[in-house]
Amino acid sequence: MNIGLYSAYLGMRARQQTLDVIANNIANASTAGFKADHLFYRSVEAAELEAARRAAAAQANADGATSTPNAATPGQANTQPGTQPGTQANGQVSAGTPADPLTNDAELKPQERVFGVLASGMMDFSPGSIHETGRSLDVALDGNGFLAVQTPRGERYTRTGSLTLDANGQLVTQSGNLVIGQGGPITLPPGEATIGEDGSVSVRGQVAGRLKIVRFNDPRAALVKEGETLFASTGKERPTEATQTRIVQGALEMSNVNAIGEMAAMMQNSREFDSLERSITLMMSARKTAAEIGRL
Amino acid sequence: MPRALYTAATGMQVQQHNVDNIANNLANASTVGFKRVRLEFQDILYQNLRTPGASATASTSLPVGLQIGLGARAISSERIFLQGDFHQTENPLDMVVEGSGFFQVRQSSGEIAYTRAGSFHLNAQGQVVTATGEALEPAITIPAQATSVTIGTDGTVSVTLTGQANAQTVGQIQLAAFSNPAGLESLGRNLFKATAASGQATVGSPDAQGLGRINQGFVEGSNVNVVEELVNMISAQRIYETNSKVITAADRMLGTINQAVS
Repeated sequence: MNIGLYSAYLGMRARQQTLDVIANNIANASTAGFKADHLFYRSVEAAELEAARRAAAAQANADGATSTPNAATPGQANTQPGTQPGTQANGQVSAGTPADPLTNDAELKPQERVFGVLASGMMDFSPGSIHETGRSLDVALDGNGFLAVQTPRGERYTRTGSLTLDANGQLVTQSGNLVIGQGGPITLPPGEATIGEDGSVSVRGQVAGRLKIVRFNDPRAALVKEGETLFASTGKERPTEATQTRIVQGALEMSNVNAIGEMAAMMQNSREFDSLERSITLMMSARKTAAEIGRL
Repeated sequence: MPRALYTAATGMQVQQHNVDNIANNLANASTVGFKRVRLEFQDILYQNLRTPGASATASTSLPVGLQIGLGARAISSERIFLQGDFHQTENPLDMVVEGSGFFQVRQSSGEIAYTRAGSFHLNAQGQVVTATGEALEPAITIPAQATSVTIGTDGTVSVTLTGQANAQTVGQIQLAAFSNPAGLESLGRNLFKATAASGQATVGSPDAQGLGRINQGFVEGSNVNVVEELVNMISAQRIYETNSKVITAADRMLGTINQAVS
């Protein structure tokens, strides 16, 4: 009984976190360069199974040559999401007992196998729509690269290309962070700037510098959001030069938030929350009934 | 309280700023020399509930974390100094700058201000002034007996006096340029003031150093694109609505919890 209540509580907490994330996505529906977040759920038990399985696999393959982290377990199905993050924010609640063939866990009693759900976040790095602005210092990145910028905290990465100049004519972001070029900050002389597809910045035919565009093999693991549409590196991966990213001058990448998808996810989320609340009410009344029977 | 309530409130605030700004752009759709303003938004900050890469167990680490963002805010209102359309007026004191330069005018306080609105007039003393009376800098006076005024592309102002065959130079217009025009402060009345962000003005003759050439008999229209503003307005209104739905959803969740404990 307690386990059931706890499962329902975890489920409600996960729905509340999902709503928090949806709220942030919708609030940033007009933030240029913003990347949406999506939550995906996994059952706590599945996570534990996964951990136990990995530990066993690591021991069995002491050389590590054949251990693959991508083996399919119930938890893994969720932690390696596909390319349609909009569908991940809800559904996929595997709170029941999974039909898992793992023999190691067969001795677990059924009561111990029923647990709740935990939410994990995932950034959606799909491109936002590109709007034509005509402004010479707006750049959109067509590809999976990031602009490198210098902040007081160190190098950060962004997809927001609404660049501007500071009083010294140096290229900066709207927050005043210096944009890093291949050879340090880029200083522009007065005049209309031309930014080429390769990121070279020139004014009246004179090249002033070249934007540093970097990419990550797995940006979801390599980057963490910092606010101000900046991403910080988690240190998992060193950025490499993005050679496949084309720079489009006079255009901006808008937010990749899909308002309709978010609304649909929000509605489903509310209904699931209600159902969980209903299940708590039912469990409480069942408990009350049991107590009354005991009194007779 | 769910964070979603406050997060959605920041989203509504952002769209309110957005609509305020669109309203100002639209109101100035036929203001000579007006440059439209674009608001820039940013996400605020994130709460790290689970850090990606942290250890889940001794042998595993979390592939992704759980970060919950706390909404959006407006970060800057940037003036877009794209050229507006040129309209021919045939008025001899109407000028456009075909380039990035600004006209300099002296305010009544004595301070210099900068403008792109080149529709000038004469005051009682024959001085070239703006519609609100700020004198063009350096000051140019057109003699009362002048029959025609000619302004060259390099800013040379010459007049023909009654009974004289040769034109006579009465002044030279100087233009100012900034390394970061977006950093100029708007004073209203189409005037801008230099700030630390815009940098010092580089003053020079037109047609030199990329300041732009002067064309007499034209004015520069507002660079507001009405259709684009209307589309932005529709999207702002819809996103505002969506944010309010989030508030409703968060409120319903709270209501559900209250019912459960009653």
